[in-house]
Amino acid sequence: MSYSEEQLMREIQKVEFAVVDLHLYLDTHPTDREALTLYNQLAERLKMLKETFSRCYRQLVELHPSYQYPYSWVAGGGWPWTMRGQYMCEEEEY
Amino acid sequence: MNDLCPQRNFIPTVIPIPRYRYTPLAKSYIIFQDLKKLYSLEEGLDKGTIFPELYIPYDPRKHEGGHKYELF
Repeated sequence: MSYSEEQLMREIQKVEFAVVDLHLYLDTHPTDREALTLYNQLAERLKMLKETFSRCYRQLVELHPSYQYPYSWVAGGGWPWTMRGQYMCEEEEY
Repeated sequence: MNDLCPQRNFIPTVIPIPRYRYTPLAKSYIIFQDLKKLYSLEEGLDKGTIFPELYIPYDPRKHEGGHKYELF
């Protein structure tokens, strides 16, 4: 299964949010193995997704390897939170 | 001469009860969260939590005419 740039970014946002939420849960439930397992699964998936994104599109995480030439940090497609087509303001054109 | 002192005719009507002895300190507690069903990742991102028991959207209609803490 392959994602478009927008789909991949959306997937990263979904997984990262869940990882953060589970991280908060584990703060107060350090002995919950089930949650820890789920956290690890999602964290691994998040890592994989971010690597995929940076290989296919542009650098996503600061100070991480960049595989694209020419180098593209932001110029390649807007900030992660201004995903094109997803949250774009309808009145304005970008 | 002493009548000028406002404290002089003051008769306390309430005898203060030592709080430490008769009234406990306020205690607050929250129910400990258990891992139950989770939202899907998509739904979690939309709702702001992946834990259904923590999804308590604010509904102004519920709070008309004062505070009501009926969440569930």
